[in-house]
Amino acid sequence: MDRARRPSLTPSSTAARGVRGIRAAWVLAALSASSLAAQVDDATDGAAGLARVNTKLGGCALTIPGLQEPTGVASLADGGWVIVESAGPRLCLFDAQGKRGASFGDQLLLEPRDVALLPSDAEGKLANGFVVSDMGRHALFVFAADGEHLATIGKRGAGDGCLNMPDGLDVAGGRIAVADTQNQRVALFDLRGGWLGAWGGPDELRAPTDVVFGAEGDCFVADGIGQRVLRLDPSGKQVAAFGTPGPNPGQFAGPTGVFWRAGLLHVVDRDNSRVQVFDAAGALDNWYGIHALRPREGDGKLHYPLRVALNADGSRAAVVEPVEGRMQVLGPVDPSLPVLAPLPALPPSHFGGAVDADGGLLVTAEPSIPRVQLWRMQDGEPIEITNFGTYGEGSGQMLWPADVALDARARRIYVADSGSARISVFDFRFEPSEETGFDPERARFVLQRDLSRGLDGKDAAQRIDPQGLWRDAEGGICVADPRNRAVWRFDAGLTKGERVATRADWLEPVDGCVGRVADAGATRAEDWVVDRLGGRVVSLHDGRTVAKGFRRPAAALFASNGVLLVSDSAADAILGVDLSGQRAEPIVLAQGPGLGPDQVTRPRGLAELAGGRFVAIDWANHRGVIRALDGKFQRAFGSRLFLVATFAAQTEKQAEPASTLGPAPRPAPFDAAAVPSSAPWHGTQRLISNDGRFAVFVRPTPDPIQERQTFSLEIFVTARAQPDVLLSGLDLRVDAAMPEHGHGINVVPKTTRLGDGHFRVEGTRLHMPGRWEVYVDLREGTRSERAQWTLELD
Amino acid sequence: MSVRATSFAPAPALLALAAAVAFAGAWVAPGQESRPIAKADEGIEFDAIARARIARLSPLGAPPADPTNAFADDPRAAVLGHRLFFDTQLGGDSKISCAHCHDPERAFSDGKTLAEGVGRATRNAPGLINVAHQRWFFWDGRADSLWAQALQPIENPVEMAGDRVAVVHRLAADETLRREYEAIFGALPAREGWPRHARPDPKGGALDAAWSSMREADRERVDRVFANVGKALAAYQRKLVGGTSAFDRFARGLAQGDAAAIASLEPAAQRGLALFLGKGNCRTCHSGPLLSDGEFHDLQLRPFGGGERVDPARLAAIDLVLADPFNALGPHSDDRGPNASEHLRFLARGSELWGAIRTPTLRNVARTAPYMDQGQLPDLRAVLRFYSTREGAAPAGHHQESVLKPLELSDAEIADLEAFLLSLTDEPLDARWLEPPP
Repeated sequence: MDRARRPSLTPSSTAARGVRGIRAAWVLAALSASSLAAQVDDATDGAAGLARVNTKLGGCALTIPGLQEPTGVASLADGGWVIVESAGPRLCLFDAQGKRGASFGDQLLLEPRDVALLPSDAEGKLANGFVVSDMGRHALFVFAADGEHLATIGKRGAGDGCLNMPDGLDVAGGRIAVADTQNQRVALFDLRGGWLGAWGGPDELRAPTDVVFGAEGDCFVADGIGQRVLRLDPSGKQVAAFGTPGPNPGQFAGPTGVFWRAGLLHVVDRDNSRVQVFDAAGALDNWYGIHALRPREGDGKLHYPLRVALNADGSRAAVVEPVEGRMQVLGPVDPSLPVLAPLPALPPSHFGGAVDADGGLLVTAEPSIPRVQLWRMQDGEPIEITNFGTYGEGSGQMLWPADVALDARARRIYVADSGSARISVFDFRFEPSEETGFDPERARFVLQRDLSRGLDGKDAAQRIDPQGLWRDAEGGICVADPRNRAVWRFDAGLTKGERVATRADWLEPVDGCVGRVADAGATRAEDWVVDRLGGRVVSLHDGRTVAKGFRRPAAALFASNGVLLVSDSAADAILGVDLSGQRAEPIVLAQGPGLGPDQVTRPRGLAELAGGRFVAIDWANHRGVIRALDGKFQRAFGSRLFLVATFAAQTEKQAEPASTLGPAPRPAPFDAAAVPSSAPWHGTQRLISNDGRFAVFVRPTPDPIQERQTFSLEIFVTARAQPDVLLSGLDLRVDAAMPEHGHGINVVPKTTRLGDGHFRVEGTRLHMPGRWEVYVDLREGTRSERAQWTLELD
Repeated sequence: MSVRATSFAPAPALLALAAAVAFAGAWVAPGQESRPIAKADEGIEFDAIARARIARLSPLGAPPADPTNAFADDPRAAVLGHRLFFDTQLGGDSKISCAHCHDPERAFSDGKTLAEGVGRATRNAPGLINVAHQRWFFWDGRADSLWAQALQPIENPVEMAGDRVAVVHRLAADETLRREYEAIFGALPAREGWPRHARPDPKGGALDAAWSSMREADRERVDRVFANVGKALAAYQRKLVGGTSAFDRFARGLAQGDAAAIASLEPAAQRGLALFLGKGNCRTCHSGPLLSDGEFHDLQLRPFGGGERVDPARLAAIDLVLADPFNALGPHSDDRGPNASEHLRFLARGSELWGAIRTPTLRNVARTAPYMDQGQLPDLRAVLRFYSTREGAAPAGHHQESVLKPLELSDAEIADLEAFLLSLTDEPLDARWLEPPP
């Protein structure tokens, strides 16, 4: 982000020592680039690339607290910083001691995200100015060094010169590069705003979050959902990519910031609470930062860090943490301090924003792992009964499950995967009478609808971004799509879909709920949409504003007591609006930030539980909270800390209302006699797909399937209702997994199409004894459905 | 391991069909569990299920064919490979042969934690008896054949520190090596104008520069000879096979009802075998006649010397094996057809393979201490205690498989399992392969 300027001033040790928040004596003798770089041990067993990790940064030299959602930072020549305060919204200058100086931009900006410095030799007022990306305005704003607004670059759209939710940016060589997140590209402009083109695209980038120019005009792009960093050459061609999803060194859970300094690339690995440092070839050099567990815990411990900017010699790293409202400046580790071992894995209680509840069950989703969890309510407490989700774009896999919906009667879980632009449906086995514990095989994938090329599957520019998902009053599925500022409605089987309405005055639809309104003496259900940037809840029926005045609403719930509950993320509050008009002011049901029973920090999803309760995701505290509809705290589950146990102990057991869970899913009926005896698939093993669309006939070779022995499958596919005719226009994939062990197979079976509805699949291999599930996934246009069987290898 | 009812059990009509068709062996018969009966001082009475499981662990049989190596079972190649294996001139410092780290006296391992060649390597030197049965080679499986594996230590700077051009010069300079090589593989190439030392190195350097200076046709000639050296070394190592352990005699006895052969396995080892098949879940990964599934798993073991785990192991090795010019699909493979290259063609790359290492064979395990990929555990007791308590393991990430749970074995059970592991030691191999050739 900061490359244009060459800061000349080096912080003096005495000046730094006096600064508030200093942890240890500031070591002036900064490490040279070469000493940082020479960490990779050459003496490897082959080229396994074992890095001797030696954390060089980590001591906290300075903390600037009290920032309003800092999302971007650049180092200034005088040793200070310019920080983007997204919730300001404004830019603010700070000196090297952390003292706040001038701020500007608040009249123009809506949701600024990142800042880069313009070079000192730029023309006229551009010299030493700033360029700021604004995700809400879908534009870049150019300011002179004194804060004067000089230009606005870009507008919302997908074409040349357009942006859709721009995020991190950098300036070098007369070019501005910005992560154009929803267009899945890096957009390039000259300093006067002229369009220079774009790099990347949907095939290379899932969701670019930040970009930085490296040496020799190369450019690094962080892909927050692809979980990797791409290296592009000066023409924008991808020359390397590194990183895989996960918690281990060299892996990522939502990379959101990249910064190049002194021959090394610093990558903010947000959900792993660390910054990893790589050489230009992508070899891991070292990392710094560990997960902060208590609210406001700092001193080098991080909580959802977003971006990093290093000073000129790379000896100090400024890391912004929007959730904590602060920036920490990290310096060399004080050798007298104990070495803090980074946590190798995310704490198990991370929850994403999503929650839904129905029929005595609860479902949550954590995008960065990714994982969907299903819970039963028992004596007032959620008990996890299964979970699922592996990272990938295959059937039943997911990249970034942003929201979930639960249909207890149909026993179905809907997952909105924002990362791959799909809606996936899972069903599950569970009896409320069970003395249940956890069962990894409880849920199974049923079907999915691909939205990555729009409703008809034809054009990647028409991609739908399913950020929010709710079941409407008729049992259909509504999808909130901020990319297109649209809401889409599907039938429960995801066969039919339509755009419900598009209103240009929606800024950012992210979620919705079913509301009820009095209409001619009766009540009528209608869908309400949460407009995050608009700060309001809007009726989908007639476009009227149902409630407004929120800062950044994340989710809404119209509860059975007639109160609209809204979680306002930026306000750290859960608010209740009495729509009967008896109270004008919103009721504060929980207010943070904080970890106390009546506090929330960055709340997100909401769902009503039977018995006059609701559950809210207290996102930044990594917990769910169950409250009475009047707001009274009842119980928390999960947590950043152990405090949950204390709270729970004060809670009495509570009887649960009778479950409204529907009957277990049954295989669809099949008329075996309808298979003609002359058909080549007559007499083979038959599977009915999980939603009943297909009959799948399978013949393995060798038969039976043996442990550790590669086998092939000959497969015939018909419609279940018409098993005498093979289906055309199908795509077929085979996969297998051991849910009990949490792993799949180490091979990718290859499919050959032999004719209409006739396939051969080679290369499948089940490498262990035990219970395996074998999957046959069938894609027909944008919709896929799974057939499966379980086998036990001894 | 208990067996639950099949999830989403098919409707009765479908079940009937399932029983009728050829899938029968694949569908679960609920409640199948082996319950061996311990008899005081006499070992164990193994029921039908246990017997079937034992029959899948023995006999070992002959090593699978390697169609990528046309000389794999050529006796002349084995003789040459034998000579090369003990040749101290093959590497870069005139002292280190393959046998330096693969000592026949120690079942071809070295007794050290991390292997020590010219320098110190980052992984443990594994034993080589029965190595020809393996599917992947190295702890991370970055080679897909025994001959491709044999080439890498020669050029590794901390192992033998040699280079492929020097290997060709070495073959040419030694009368016996040259004669034996040319009788199998044909004439060595003319070497006028070649540097003394050269090899490709992605990191650059003098050897890489020398390699780049050579004509492409010459580089191909060097690679051809180098590949042949690997094939000869593989042919030799294919002679290092056993399958003659007390456990194998016991298994044969059990199958044939031969009481004397059954008695080859002492009672403690029999109890250990029952644990191996049952409570210990050992056979989940240590399966098949090699007592290895040939696959990769993350034990969450801390690295040698402690500290953070940083080795991606299998995850990084997948790219390496796919890029290896000496793999089954490369120009020096003698069969690039679909069967020979099956391992590569269907290879999956999943981030959950981070830190995963190859399941080693347990045959001859008593002779190859210390254990694990970096020799982290000094003896078999320590290994068994690790699986029993999982003490010292790094916490598992969410992406990692959850096969390993603490077994909570008693001291007596650990002793029994150790007795079983000791019974897996082969009879001594043919002595002529254990000594340097005359």
